[in-house]
Amino acid sequence: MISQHILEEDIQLYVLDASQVKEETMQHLEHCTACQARVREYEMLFTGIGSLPKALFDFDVAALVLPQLPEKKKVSSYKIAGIAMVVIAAGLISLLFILLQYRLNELWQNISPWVIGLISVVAVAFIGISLWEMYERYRQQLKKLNFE
Amino acid sequence: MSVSTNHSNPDKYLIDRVLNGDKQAFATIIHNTEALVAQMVFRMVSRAEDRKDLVQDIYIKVYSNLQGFRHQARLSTWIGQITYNTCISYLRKKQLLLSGYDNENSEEEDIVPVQGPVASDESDSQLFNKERSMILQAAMEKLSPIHRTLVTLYHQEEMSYQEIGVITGLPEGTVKSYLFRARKALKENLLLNYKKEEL
Repeated sequence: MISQHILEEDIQLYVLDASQVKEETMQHLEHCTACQARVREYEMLFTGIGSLPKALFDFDVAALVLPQLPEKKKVSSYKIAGIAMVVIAAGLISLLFILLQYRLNELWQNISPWVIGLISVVAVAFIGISLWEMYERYRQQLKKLNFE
Repeated sequence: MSVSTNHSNPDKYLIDRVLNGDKQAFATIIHNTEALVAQMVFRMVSRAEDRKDLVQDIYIKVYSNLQGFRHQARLSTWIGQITYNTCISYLRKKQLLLSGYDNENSEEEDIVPVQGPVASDESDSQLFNKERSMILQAAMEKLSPIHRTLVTLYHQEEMSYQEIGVITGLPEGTVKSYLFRARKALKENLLLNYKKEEL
């Protein structure tokens, strides 16, 4: 049996779940009236907290919130058509490249540097705008959740 | 009219209905979770007028982000998480997070008891319980908003350390340590109060 009084942490643990405390602690508790009194203090405290009145709103939360809800954004048919066109165009270009694979080098050499430049600028601009849009959407969602 | 939730996964069923535009299903979600939200908001925010704005803010966030809910936790836990973050953000803005909570503006008496008003011919034991409850409530008020919320979630809502950790984003060890300190402070405060009364 331990002669020193039980640590505050173990007293709390005993009151919450006696099965988790060490055997020596249990033995000490059986004989020490001071520690038994500390146990009773915590028992009273936990019972007291458990029986405190629970908080409730004094207004109808649903009636307050429902009219404020934003309308769900529906994906517009134009957007769907746009995405479908991009997918089809990508498919056609891929098909063209597969079919003309052996002539690609020749094609590349004959293409004007102006056209390559134009394509590159459009592609970079497109990727840039998409990334910026993604970043903005991500920032807005984080802001909404307040995960600061 | 509430939506029937007699399904194997009522959370998922309700969320699907909300995502399909059924606002009544969202009213059911509010009804199912407002007790937890109230417990947390009351423990963290003392100004009644701010609570109203906050609860509105919380449920609009829930509605707007419902599509992103991944069912990794219970819906109520996720809503608890949004409630906690919203309240923490409010406390940070008002600089009330760490200490020196604005007790002068405290309106804890606004808490509506679930069991209703006590009859006028209340017995001695009821009076004793009421008095003890008031002393305990006052002691709770002296805790920081975070400690107060943790005590409420653990002892009143009977949540596990792990669930509280998910809601608050604190590691389980930190939750245990904060709770240990909060209980110790409460006990010491109560003992001090009783000693004062005895004198």
